Amino acid sequence: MSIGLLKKSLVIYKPIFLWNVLVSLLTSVFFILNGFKEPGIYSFAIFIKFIGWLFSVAIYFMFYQSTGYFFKNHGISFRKIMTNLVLYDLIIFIGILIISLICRNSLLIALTNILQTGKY
Amino acid sequence: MQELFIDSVNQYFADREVLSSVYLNCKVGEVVGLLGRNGSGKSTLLKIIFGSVKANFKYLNINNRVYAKGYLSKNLSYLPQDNFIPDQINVSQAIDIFCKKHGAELHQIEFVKNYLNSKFYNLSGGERRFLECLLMIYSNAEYVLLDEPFSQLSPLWVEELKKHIDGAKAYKGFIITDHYYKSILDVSDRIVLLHNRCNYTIQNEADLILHGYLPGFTA
Repeated sequence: MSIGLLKKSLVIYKPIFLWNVLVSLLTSVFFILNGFKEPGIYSFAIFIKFIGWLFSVAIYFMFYQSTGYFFKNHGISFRKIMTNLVLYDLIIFIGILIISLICRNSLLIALTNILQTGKY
Repeated sequence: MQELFIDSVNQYFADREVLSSVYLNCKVGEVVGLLGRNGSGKSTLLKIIFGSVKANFKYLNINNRVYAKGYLSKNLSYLPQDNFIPDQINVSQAIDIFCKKHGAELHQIEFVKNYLNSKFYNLSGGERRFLECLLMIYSNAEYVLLDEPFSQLSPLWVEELKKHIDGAKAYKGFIITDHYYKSILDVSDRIVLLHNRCNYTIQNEADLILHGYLPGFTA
């Protein structure tokens, strides 16, 4: 994992990063609403995250034609790019979870209000 | 000895043998021109050296180290036939990414100066090709593989590219293939012809006629 590769990946794979952050935010909502207690919800959330990564691979292949040689010219293989993308995403995901754990009460009130507003 | 060499390359596509025991080498300071008819395996050989195509068998050695894929050496640049620089980055970013060592030379080129802040999707096909060629010529790698660098380029730019290759070969080794054989003959120190799945050393244009690459041979 390197900062240089992170910078290059951010420039080229913005759509993948945005997609993964969105999935992470959605997943963290499950954790917040259920107070980090329910194993069933945990499993479902992790399952969603896993599906999100599979979509990342699919998005990567959509851009492969135009980006494959770009990274290979830096000596970076497909496996290394994907491993790094998943690692960066894991860090972001864990960050989101930690923040949501720290600010759980305020986020819970905000989320409940949003859901109730939506209901009525 | 600073050298890239690939030996015993065998490659099949389905039942068709494209390359058989092919050998190619390139030293720092030389330009090797690779010629051959359509379908003779020139691009395949470059892809095998770079590592984007897996050969049925090969032995690749770069600066006395054996590699399964050339790009893993981080000392090899490859210009594919199609555009490979993503649309969303600009010329200045591309120079910073690819040419940390020789970026200054690129910044002196008038065309590059004028387009520093342009994104690649704003450039025409020829402009884009010219810039991609320059980026590979001045890349950080010691060995450069150029697959059809002169296609899509006007004669003026072909001449300019040849000058840049000639200048950069002082500290790099180049393997170039193209169908503009006269440009290849001009810029190369050594010519290798791929014909009948094998490689032949070419001394002059008469050899190209003899091996059936150029018209004119009568038995």
